[in-house]
Amino acid sequence: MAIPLQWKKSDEARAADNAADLDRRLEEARLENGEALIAFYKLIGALHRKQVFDMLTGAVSARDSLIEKATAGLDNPEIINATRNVMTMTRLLGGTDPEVLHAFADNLDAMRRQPAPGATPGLFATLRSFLGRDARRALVTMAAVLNAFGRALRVKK
Amino acid sequence: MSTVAVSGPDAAVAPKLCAITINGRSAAAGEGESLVDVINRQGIGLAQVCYHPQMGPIQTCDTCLVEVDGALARACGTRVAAGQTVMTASPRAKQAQAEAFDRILGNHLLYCTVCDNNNGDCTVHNTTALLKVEHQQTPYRPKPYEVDNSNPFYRYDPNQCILCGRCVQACQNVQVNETLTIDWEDPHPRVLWDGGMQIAGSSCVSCGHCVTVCPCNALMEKSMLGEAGLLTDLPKAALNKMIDFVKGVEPEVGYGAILQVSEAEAAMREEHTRKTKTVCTYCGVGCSFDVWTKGRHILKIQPEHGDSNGISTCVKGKFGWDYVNSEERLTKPLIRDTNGFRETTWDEALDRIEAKLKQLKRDHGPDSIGVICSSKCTNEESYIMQKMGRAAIGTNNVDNCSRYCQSPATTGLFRTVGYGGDAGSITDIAAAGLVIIIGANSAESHPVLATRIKRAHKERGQRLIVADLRRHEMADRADIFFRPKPGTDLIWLSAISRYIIDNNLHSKEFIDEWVNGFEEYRRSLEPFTLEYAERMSGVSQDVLKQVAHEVVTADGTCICWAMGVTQHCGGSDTSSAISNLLLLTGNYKRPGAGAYPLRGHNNVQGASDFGAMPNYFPGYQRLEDAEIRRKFEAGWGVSLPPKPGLDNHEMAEAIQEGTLKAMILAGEDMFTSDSNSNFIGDSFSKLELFVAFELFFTKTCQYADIVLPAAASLEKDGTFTNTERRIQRLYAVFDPPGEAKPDWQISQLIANRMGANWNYTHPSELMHEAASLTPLFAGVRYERLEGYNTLQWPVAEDGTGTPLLYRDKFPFPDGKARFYNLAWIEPGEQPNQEYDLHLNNGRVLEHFEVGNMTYHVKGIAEMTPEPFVEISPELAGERGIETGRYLQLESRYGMARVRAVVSDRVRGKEIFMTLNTHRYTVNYLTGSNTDRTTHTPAYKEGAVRIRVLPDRGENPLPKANFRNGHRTPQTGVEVERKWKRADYKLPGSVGLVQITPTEPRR
Repeated sequence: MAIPLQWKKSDEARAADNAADLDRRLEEARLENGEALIAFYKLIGALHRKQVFDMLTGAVSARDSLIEKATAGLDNPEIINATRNVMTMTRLLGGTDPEVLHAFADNLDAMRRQPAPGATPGLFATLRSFLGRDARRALVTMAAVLNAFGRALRVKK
Repeated sequence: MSTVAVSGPDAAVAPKLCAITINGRSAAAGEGESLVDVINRQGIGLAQVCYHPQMGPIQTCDTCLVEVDGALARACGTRVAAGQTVMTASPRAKQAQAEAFDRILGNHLLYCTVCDNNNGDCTVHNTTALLKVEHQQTPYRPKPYEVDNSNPFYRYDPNQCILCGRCVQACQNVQVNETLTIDWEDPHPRVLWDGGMQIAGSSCVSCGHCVTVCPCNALMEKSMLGEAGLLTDLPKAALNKMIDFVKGVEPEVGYGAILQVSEAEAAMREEHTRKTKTVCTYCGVGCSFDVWTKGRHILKIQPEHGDSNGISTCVKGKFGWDYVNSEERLTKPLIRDTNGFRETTWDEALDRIEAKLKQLKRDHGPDSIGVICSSKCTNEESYIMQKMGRAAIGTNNVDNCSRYCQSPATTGLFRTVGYGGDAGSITDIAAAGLVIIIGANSAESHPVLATRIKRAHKERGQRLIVADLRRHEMADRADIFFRPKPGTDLIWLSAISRYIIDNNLHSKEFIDEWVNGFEEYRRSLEPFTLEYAERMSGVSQDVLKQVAHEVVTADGTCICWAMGVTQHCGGSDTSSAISNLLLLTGNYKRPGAGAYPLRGHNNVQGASDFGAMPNYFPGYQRLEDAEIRRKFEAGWGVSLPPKPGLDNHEMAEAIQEGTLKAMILAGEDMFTSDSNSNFIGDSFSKLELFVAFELFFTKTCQYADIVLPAAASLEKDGTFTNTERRIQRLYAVFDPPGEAKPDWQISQLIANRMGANWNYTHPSELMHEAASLTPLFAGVRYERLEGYNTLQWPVAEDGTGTPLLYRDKFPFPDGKARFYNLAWIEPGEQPNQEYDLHLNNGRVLEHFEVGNMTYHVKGIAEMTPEPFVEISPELAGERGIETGRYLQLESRYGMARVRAVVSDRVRGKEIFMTLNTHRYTVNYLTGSNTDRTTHTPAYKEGAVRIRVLPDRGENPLPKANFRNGHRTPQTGVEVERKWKRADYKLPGSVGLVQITPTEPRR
């Protein structure tokens, strides 16, 4: 004659079951991935000798704190401005024909190899140097750049 | 309201074809269908943030603006007309689309990489990519509202809400719970619950429709938060800073590059996110959906493609799965010994079972053993369990727990029309001209099915009649609601039938061609005058006449019924009366009509279909038919017992008599579910061997000798058959915990110990074997059920299913149906002077039956922690009862203590106790009377008295329970109110700032 009986699994028994289940799954995984595990052991041995794990363990356990520190100043206007400006500079450089800059650098090199003038050039000599075709070409380009910068300043205002 | 044909479960008949031109190319379209559907069919990438094919046009987002015959128009709101010229990518259309989406981004902060909704299916993310948005012009503006975390299952973040209105549309017009609205007139519109700003305590039933359709992360399942993404569990402060930084540099980077990163992150998530299709384990509607998991953590339930449900779910299907990970799950076999239960090995448990079963079989014969299958187990499991009983043990004492509920309906249909299943599909119920619901609280017991009725009623004026003791939600919505006296349904149904005949309103042609026995039937209706029906049932003659006229004038009548009809001594007869009425009025053999007994459990239909019955083999092939028995003997390679066995009610009596000595019971807390629990417990205690397969240690397990840990539905492959006779596959999401096994494996282990020598390795083998022996499923194959494919039986050898029964003929030798003559017999138990109150009982929406699974879902347990009894205001006044007062209910069979809720859902001396069980089950109070034909317990024929106890507690329904809310019905999202706002102009209108379709800045 069966009388009704209650039953409830104890926390200890549950923990033991979970551990046993994990053991079983680990063993199955070990057998299934043996070759990969051997290669992995070689790798972790090398990393351990270089003390990489000490650093990683520290980083992982301090994950939240590290991320908070790393992101602490991210919303700082100066950081954002600087990042944007770097991106803008990158865009400017990317938009510049490298052949022009290359030739400019070559011309500067050639100029440096020439002997320095003995005396300071006079006013007319200076003005004459601006009248050359190359100089005029550069002046117009610089004026365009200045105009673009001036327009940007105007938009900002 | 939209009459556009939509895809999915409620798809309308295809309209007349015509030709239109889209982007210079001709396209075939249906006249009157939504233009956006045509465009989508052509594979043209058109933005459409608020449009969802299963909900029809909402027209709030404006991103689908196209040029139609030269004018800007929303593609979703435009009906196709022959000869239209449509341009989806003209400069004007593209500019309008870009402007519309830019406004949306003003309401939504894009931080996809660290968003839990970044799973490849986020509409806002994908539209940003589709429109190649690089920068937004409309600045993001947060709204002045807090995030609402008050619901246990989902949260609403107003600051991410794009006000697309999909959630409102779903709530108002799909679920038709009518909780959500948007206050378009407010300076800062947001979604409201019952017109207010808190979800908890509103009428929200947590069905999940709103979360499922939300196109971004404004509405999110809490189980997804911090779990779905690789970075989303970072500290909130760090996340916010990362978001601010990305927003800050966005003018230089552009959204294109940022989306590349987020799409890479979404792709990386695929590694840890598994998506598996399953079928809901709860009710008989048979919703199917994808389960998203990370390990054993259930991320979310994503419905969309299910034939029965589409995007719909209820609280249990959407949020009720945590029980699979409960710490209370059984993981090892348990054996009773002198000190109580102890865990053991499978070998020891099976050794004990084998030894005892063999001894009992030897000493008392195989019929001293009984097998009860579960209507929660799969078809394959029912098949192998009944085979175990018949072939391995040698007994036909095989039954299943649908005996408790739907056997009378099956009998009523067998008697009259030949098949024990729904005449058609849920789409037929939605398409009917008239739906009559008798003794069924569909909105709580079959929520998704009820949504189709509510939608049809609200959107196109489908007529709805409800007959019930209790004024539940469907009764409130009904055009005609009446409350017959308990146990009198057969009388008023028969009186209506007689009235129809007397007034020559019956379908003579249909009857002449398709139904036998009319004259005898007409004579059998002699006693059922309207006067008699009024006197006995309490329903006025006027109402009965009204109902009769509704039936005969409707363009198709579907009658749905459930336990209020079947769980009576005359349940089979009342079910027959329903079918008689439908035959009389020609409501078979056509769409949008027929008999729809609403199966309660996920596999009530399948458990009986696959032979877990004492007198039928699979497919309702009669056991006593020698030829059929020989077929199964040949197929199974054994001799089979020729005599029908005992059903589960008879088994309990046989235990008392001493002739049944062992029981194997799968997935059923019979103690709390069968009637007269004290009698059942006493019967269990007399068994010499009681083996239970279970997920949890239930009240029934307390009586067992051996409890075997079983797998839940998410942990096995198989099929279920829903109330539409629809067979659907479920796939294992993860392994069972510990040493638990699927029931089919457990059955095979026991059968092999009894000498069976079976070696099934997968449920598909069981299905193929069953199909090979069963004409009803001859063409059922797993390959034909892959993914979301389904089949409704009968299934021919070539795989053709049968959405609508009886199209050609009725399955009787002459092809005709039969009227079944009836007489009314009084209920087995009625209130008297000593037990003066009528006890009704039933489910609540949020719990399933007694709650063995749902009490392990934290949010559901919090929502409704205890059972309660509804007391009418008049009875409460008479007896001095207030809400929260403890009552002792006493019947001839037992006692239960429960708290009261005073409610006008019940009237007079009729009380209603909920099935969810805490310490006391309602079945302590119910007796052992049964339906005369099927032995289904007459749960609804109970009489009790009340003792008012001195203790008073809180309202058993906590403040946050949805029953305390107040709906705010309206016709969908009411976008016209948005258009009337002073700050609203159609995107692309002249005079606005032109937004050039964006290219990355150079």
